[in-house]
Amino acid sequence: MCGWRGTILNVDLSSGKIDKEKLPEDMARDYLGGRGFNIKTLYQELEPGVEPLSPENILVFGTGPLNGTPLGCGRMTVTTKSPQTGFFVEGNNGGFFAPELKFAGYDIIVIRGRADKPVYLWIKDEKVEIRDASHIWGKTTWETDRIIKEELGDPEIQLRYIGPAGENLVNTSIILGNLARAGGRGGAAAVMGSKNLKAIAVRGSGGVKIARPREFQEALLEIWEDLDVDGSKDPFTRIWGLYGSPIVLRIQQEYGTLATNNGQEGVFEKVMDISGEEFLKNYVVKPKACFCCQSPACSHWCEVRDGPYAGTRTEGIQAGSTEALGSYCGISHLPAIIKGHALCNELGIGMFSTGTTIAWAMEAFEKGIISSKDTDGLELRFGNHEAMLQLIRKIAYREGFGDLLADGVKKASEKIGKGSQDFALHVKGLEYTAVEPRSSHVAALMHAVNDQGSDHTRAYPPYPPSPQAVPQEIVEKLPFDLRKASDDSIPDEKGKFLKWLFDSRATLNCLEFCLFNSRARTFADFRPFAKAITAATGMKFSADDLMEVGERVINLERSFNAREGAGRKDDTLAKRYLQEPFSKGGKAGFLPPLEELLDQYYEARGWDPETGVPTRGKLGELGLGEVADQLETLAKQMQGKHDGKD
Amino acid sequence: MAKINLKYIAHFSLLTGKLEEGIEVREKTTVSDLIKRLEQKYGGFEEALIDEKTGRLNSRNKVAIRKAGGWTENITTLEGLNMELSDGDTLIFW
Ligand code: SF4
Repeated sequence: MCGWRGTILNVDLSSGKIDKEKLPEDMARDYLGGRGFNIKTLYQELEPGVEPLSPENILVFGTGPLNGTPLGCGRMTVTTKSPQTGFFVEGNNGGFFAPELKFAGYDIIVIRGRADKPVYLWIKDEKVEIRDASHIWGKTTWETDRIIKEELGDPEIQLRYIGPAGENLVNTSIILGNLARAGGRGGAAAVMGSKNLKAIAVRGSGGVKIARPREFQEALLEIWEDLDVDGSKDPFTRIWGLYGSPIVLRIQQEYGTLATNNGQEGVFEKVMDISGEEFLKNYVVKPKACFCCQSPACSHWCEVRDGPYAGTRTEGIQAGSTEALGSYCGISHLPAIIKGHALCNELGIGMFSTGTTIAWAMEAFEKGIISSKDTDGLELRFGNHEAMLQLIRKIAYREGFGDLLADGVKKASEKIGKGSQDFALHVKGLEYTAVEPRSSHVAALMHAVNDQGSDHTRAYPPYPPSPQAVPQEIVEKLPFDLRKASDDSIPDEKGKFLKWLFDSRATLNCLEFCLFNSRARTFADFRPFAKAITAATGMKFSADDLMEVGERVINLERSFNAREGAGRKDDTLAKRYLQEPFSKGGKAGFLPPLEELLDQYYEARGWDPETGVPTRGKLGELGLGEVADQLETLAKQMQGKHDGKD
Repeated sequence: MAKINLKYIAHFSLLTGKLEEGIEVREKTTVSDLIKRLEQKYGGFEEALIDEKTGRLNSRNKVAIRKAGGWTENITTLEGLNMELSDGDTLIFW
């Protein structure tokens, strides 16, 4: 195969059996790769109701046809059933692992079963072995990175690993690689930990065959044109390409949407202390990026040189780090935020979920719902960075009060009760991230209907394309009214726009092209991607074909959750987002009319507006007739049970 | 005279060497007049914000306005550029 390597690697940790299977051509065409392959595999293999931390759950690591080519960056997707939400969860990690896996000859790894002792997987081209990991169990992610590279004698080995949090089955644990490339919120690392799988190491010596190199290069140059920091028509290209995302903090502040003190306000008085400009000036050592990325300052290597956290060195501080461990928790001490980011990465927990959960605990403490008796003596007030850092460790090791928070904010607030659920910021049990739901109609809807829970990464960027950046013929064909969709003073067209945004981003996740880099023209004009993928694989794809893949994937993801009982009732927001507007700042007073937005969205999708579940007609259109059969059978069984009870 | 707050983010903090400043403008000063004034003072504003072919705002950088007590709104049109500034307005350049 060209583009793809044509091989699925199956690993059963219970039996130790490893086999390789041909990637079916129809799966490649219908799902493209990464996110698409993963949900297809998960849906096919898991029976509804499977216990996420049991050996019956599976972990799927999927790459796309662009990984390993200069267009592919380093993104890839890991998908599993979440112990935190009970639905599917996926993480899109960057770095260098995905191209290396392709170079070794594989598109997908499927991990099944459970090893009887800690192990890691070592893939060296066609040779694959399960190795003992007893000596690295308990180690941090950074130690694991070093030890495995040393023992295999190759510093260029690429890895995915878990830290102590994943081993301790922390719901908010995540999988990392390249020290800072994280993904899999909702406990993907806990699933890995439940399988006794500490890491996957890979080294490949092959390459990715391109069917028509000249055409591929033409498409590549068209796509890269949008990423030119001086020429791009997208305002964020320069920000990502030159400064890095922490710059976004002051933008959010000025638009009144910088979630502060657990989202009680959208303005953080001390924003200057934690701004991107402050970070660049005093802490950044050098820029870093994923494989072949044209956005060289997306990640940074940084150091704290003095003060109580002197000696902290880490990578990958994003706006999200300074929000989650900063303004959410009322913390304005940037070195402490950097230290917190480093701890999250080394211990293997997600900083969004951690920051949101700690911010909730701080609010509960300040409101007298919990006291220092509950918190192991910690004075959990907003701004207390020492307490935050202690809590990060406690969560990762499930110690004392940290054990409660390790289950995530939904479960913690349900246990504590006393009204604390009202300010537990999550959707479907997954903690709030980054783009404030009270910042726009689209942002609110994006969080509410996101199948993996609160998340901003599957609908990024969350605003409509600029008519100046996109060719007129594409603007005319957009399935929504661009002018109305861009007008945030009205809810009109937001459902249609979000459908298009979710579908198109799902397509990019299947190609494993980084969402940060779909800018300006290629935000909406997918012809260069169609050209690239056709040239890479030798299979003919139009821009519409690509969009259909995205829609198919979203429908299958929703169907997976529907099998687990999800529906419209789960497409909601924390009470705070629906009832408590910001009192000041650039978005004061705004509350999203969620029910109206949901109706719009289901209508745009062709889903049942009452249940929020895909209809037979829609599934049939997308070649998912069997899924419709299964959902109908399950609905009848549920009805039968219900009637039996009556 | 009206007091205006200016916020410079990313590229604009490099152009000005500042993160923010307050200035005074005469009555009836428009957003467009202000951009010209900043161009004279610091340079680089017109190139960053205005499409030289059409004279309209480009999509590469943004200028937004927050009227006292109002929402922050991106300025995207000619009417936006011709908007008169009032006391307490905040303009954000990014
Ligand atoms: S934009 Fe950032 S996350 Fe995306 S591929 Fe480039 S370096 Fe990686």
